[in-house]
Amino acid sequence: MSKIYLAIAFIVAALLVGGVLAWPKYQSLSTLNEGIKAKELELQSKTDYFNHIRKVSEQLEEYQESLSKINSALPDDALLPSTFNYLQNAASQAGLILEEVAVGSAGVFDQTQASAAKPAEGQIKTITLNLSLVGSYASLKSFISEIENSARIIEVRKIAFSSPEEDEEEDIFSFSIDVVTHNY
Amino acid sequence: MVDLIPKRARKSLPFQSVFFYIALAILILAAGAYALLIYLESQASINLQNLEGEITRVGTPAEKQMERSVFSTERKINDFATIIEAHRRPSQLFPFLESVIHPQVWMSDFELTMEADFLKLSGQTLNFRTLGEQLEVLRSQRMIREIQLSDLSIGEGGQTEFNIGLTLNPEIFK
Repeated sequence: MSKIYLAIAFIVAALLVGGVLAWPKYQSLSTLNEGIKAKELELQSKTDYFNHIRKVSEQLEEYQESLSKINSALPDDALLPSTFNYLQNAASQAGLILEEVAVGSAGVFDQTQASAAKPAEGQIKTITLNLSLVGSYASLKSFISEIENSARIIEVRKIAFSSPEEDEEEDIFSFSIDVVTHNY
Repeated sequence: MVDLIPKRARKSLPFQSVFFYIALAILILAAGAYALLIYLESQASINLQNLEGEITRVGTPAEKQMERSVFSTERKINDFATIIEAHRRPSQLFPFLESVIHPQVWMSDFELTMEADFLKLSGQTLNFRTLGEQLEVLRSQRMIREIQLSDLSIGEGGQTEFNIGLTLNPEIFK
C-alpha cells in the first residue's frame, strides 16, 4: 500500500482517537477537576469554620466566670426550690415574712411581655410566682431592690398592698407581689 | 509482447514520506494523549475521593459538640442581653412617689401593674383644696403621662376620699 494511503489512514485513525475517545475523556477530566476545585473550597471553608469555632470556644473559656453568672441568671430548668429558698431568704433579710408562694402561669419570654404561648425548643420560658408577704413598707422597698439585683433574673410584674386596718398593728402591711423567673 | 527493457521500481515521492511520518506522529500523539487523559482522570478520581474523605473527617463528633456548645453559649449571651435590656426596676417608683405625695394626703391602697405601667392608688385627704394641690403636683411630673381621678367622695369624718390611676412613663423603671 502506498505511503500516502497509510498516511491518510493514520490521520483518520488519529481523528477517531481524538474525537471519539480523547475528547470525551478530556471533558470528563475537566468536570472532575471542577469537582475537585469545589471540594477543595468546601474543605477549606469547613476547616476554616471549625478553626473559627475552636478559637471562639477558647475565647469563651476565658470568660467562664461571666458565663457562669449568665447560667445562674438563665438556668436550664426552673429550679423552683432554689428560687423559693432565695425568695424566702431575701424576704427574711429585708424584714418581711413570706407567707405563701404560689406557682402561677407558665409562658414564653418575649421582649414586650411574657405571653402564655406554649414554649418551643430553645425558647426562654417564664414562670409567674405569686408571693404573699407581710411586713413594713420599708422592708418592701428593701425586698424589691434585692430581687431586682439578684443573680437569677427576677422581674416584678405586680405589686399590691393596702394600709393596715385600724385594729391591726400599724405599719404592718400585707403585700401581694407577682414575679416572673426565666429559664430554658 | 514481452517487455524486454527492465523498468525502474517506482519510488515514492519525498513529500509522501514526510506526510506518512507526520501522520504517524499525529496518530502516536493522539494515542499518547488518550493514554495520558486516562491516567489523569484516574488520578483526579482518586483526588476527588480523598477530598470527599477529608471533608467527612472535618467536623468530628468532638468538633460538632464544641460547635453546639459555642452556639448554645452565644444564644444564652444574646438572650441574657435581651432580658437585661428589658429588665425593669419598680423600686425606682417608691422614692419618686414619696417625693410627689402631698404631706396631707394618705394613701391606703397601692396597686402597680408593670405590664401597663399603671399605678392605681386609693387615698384620702383633708379637703378638696389639698386634693387639687396634689393633682397639680402630679400633673407637673414628667414621669406621669396620664392621671385619672375617680370615685371622689366625702368620708364619714369629712375627709375627701378618692382613687387615682396614674399611667407612668416607662423611663421611671429604667
